[in-house]
Amino acid sequence: MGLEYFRKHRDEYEKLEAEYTSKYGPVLARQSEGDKKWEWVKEPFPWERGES
Amino acid sequence: MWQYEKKLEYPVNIKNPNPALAKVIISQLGGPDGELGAALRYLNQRYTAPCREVQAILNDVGTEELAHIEMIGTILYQLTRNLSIKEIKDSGFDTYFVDHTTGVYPIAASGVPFTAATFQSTGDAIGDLHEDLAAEQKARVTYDNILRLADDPDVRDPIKFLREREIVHYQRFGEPNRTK
Repeated sequence: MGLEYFRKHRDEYEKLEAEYTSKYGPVLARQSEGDKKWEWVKEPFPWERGES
Repeated sequence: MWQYEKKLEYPVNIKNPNPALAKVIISQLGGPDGELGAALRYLNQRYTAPCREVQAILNDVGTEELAHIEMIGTILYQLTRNLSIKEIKDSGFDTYFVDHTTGVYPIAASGVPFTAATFQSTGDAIGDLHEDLAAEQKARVTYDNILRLADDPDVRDPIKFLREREIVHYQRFGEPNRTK
């Protein structure tokens, strides 16, 4: 069933997103934690990668 | 409204600059069948779509096109990092560089700036959906041609992902044309 598939992958996504943000910082600006530094700008934006 | 997620839809990690390749891939940003035109086409067509199913498809696909604009912009940015003046001259990138340095600007590979004249919003669901089916195939052709011109696996991999999404979107735009 399509909706069953949707629910399964939504639940998996939510679990992995929580794991990711706890390790690498916020994916959404509102997930920013910390009271000294604005976490949103601590980690690179996604285009700043790949350089050798 | 939209909320930004700080990630690419599919990763782009290009190690070696290649300004000559950036000069052709830029068509998928500002060219006649590029991602910017795709996003604007679907996001403007959705208002007059006659039912929720079609509104949702146009909304979802139009939103995904915004993420594709970001992937193409990232590819262009990474292909034009740390260039020497000699590399800029030898690659033919000098004609872009003179106006934009290495800033990302939406033009076709031919140099024609992005224009809304390449897409329609007819206010008619049958007219719009058939344009959308054609648009996805035309974008697929452009990705096919980029794959004919690009050797670097770091570039080919995200381009293959984007090509695949054109096919998925083509199938999604076919769904509402079926009768219930």
